[in-house]
Amino acid sequence: MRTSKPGRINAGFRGRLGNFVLDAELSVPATGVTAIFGPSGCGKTSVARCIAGLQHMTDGFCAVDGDVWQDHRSFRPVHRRPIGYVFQEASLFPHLSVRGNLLFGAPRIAGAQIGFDEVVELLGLAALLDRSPNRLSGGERQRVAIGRALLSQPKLLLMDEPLAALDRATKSEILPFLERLHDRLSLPVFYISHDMTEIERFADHLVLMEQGRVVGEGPLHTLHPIPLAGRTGRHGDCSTRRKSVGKTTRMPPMPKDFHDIDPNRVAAILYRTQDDVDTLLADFAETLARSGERIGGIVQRNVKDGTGCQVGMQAIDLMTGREISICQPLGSGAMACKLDAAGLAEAAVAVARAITADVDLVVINKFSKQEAAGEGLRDELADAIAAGIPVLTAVPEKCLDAWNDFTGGIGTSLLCERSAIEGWWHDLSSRMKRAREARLPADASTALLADHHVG
Amino acid sequence: MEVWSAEIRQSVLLTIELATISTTILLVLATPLAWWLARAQGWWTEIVASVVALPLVLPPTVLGFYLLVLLGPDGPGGWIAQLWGGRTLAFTFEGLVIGSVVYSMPFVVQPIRNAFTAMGERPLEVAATLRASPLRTFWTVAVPLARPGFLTGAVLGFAHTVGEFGLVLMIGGNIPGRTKVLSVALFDYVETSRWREASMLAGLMVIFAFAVILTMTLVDKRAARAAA
Repeated sequence: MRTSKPGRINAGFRGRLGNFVLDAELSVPATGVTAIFGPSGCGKTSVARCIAGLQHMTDGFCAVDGDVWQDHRSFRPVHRRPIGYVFQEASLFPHLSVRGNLLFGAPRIAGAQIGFDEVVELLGLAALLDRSPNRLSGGERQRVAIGRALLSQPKLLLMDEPLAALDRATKSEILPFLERLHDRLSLPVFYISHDMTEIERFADHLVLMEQGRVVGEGPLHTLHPIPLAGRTGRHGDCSTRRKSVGKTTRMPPMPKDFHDIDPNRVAAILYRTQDDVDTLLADFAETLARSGERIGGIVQRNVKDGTGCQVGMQAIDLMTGREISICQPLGSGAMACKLDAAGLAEAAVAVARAITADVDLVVINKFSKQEAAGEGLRDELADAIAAGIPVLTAVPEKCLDAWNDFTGGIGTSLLCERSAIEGWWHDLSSRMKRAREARLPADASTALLADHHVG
Repeated sequence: MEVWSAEIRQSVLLTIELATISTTILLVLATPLAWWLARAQGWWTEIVASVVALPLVLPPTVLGFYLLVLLGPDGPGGWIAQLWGGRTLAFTFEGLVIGSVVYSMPFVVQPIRNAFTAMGERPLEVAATLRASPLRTFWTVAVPLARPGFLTGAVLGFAHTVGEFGLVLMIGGNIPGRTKVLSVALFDYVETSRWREASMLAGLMVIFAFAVILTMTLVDKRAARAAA
């Protein structure tokens, strides 16, 4: 891959960054939006920084559309590379106005591929031009940062999680701008994200990364072969847009994640702490259990006092509704609560009971470092898998490594947005219900999990 | 006797001249030094930083002693003075400037270095991705962002040059019109029991010190507000 070809972006970087080992090779077309996707800490940002030249990896190669930026002999410094770089935080220059920021990198000679007025119009910046960056909202700042990068007339635009630091409302305010960019400009873009819903909205090409390596790449629709006919209506606008720009009509967004639920592995939803997916999963499991679904496992919840302050934890067996013993050290704060030895034993019994009862789904709503430290429920999870029962759990992003160690190969990780999960569960529970009403065989849920993505 | 005597005026003017020239030289030297200290990595960075900071701890007389040796007829200062037919840099205005620069260096380097460190890598990276050469980045991004540091450094450098005494006495002596700056003049008046002039100068210095501190506080406040 380490050759320079017109029409392609070829890059390869190998080396150590602190404790992290990067060994990534990629070759993608020098057109359209290429998304680099993977969990936090997988090296996406490092790859972008290496391509930009912000990080100098001695063993590296980078060629964009026939132009070699780095090989074993040469390294072109950042300011000589025709790139635009949008950082996660807008990083506007506080001593310049919005106009000053936009024009900072704009060449003074004429003949630009994209003009000032065009950028201002495209990103809706007209009203902000004379303001100071300190007086902009997060979304406005990021729009200015994008405009500033575009006006430097780049041949490659690198966007490093430009929406990750923004709240949901601001994200949805910016996404349409990004889509417009994609439609209006022929500029190749590297879009780095750990959020598949963003990527699916406008990426053409996907590079998957895991632990410093590229584990897959290809056009987005071949990496996602699952047609979701039932959902086209909801995202009809996107499909039309695709057609209008002469692209293959692609299936609308769907969290990548659930396509990959492998009934032979424990599925873990990775979540950011603020998304509170563990509670969401607990609600989901308890609702299913209450409505008579055959579901087992345990749920753990934070107990809050009247003021919403967390005062302890509670765990219950989903099948019996019995409380499971938890060690709650008095006065040491809720963070210290965990399943004690007796609790772990009870939890193991709960899972074993669910397996014996041949339930449709085992849920353990929370995985944390404490389970990784102790023996946890690994054997029970393995038993469930062996019995062909899908297992669903939620793992905070920061515990990913511990989770991987803990499952030792029987786990799989999913990434998605809270809203996507909610939709999916709503859908799944009603399907399980319908399946039960139709008196499908007991193993139907396994099929359901897989079949959901085909139907 | 006229209170605002020619003698006092001479001292005041000389002090202002010395402080202005020293501050200018200090800023020119301290800026690249602070930039390097803020960005270089390695154990020798801290060694250089410690050498620069020595005047903070050393008694001014110790510093003055070494400078006297260096600036004297047998030191490098003497050799340089020979270039224009002099014999020594000690007890000259030029020697005083050199001494002031050395003595006040840490007070100028430290705030500028802190300002360069505080801005972090990000603005410089952003500038580089916008095609700005390292030199342009320095002038159009790093220096404007470090402006409060420069202001603090300049004010502190100026004030310290005005206030130094031990060092001036060691290397400058007490030559009216050439090395007799305010602090030495004050000492002189007390020695000769001219209390009226002494209290005038002392009062002047108190007002000056107050103005310096007030200015610094206001600058800091403004910088904090701009950053918010």
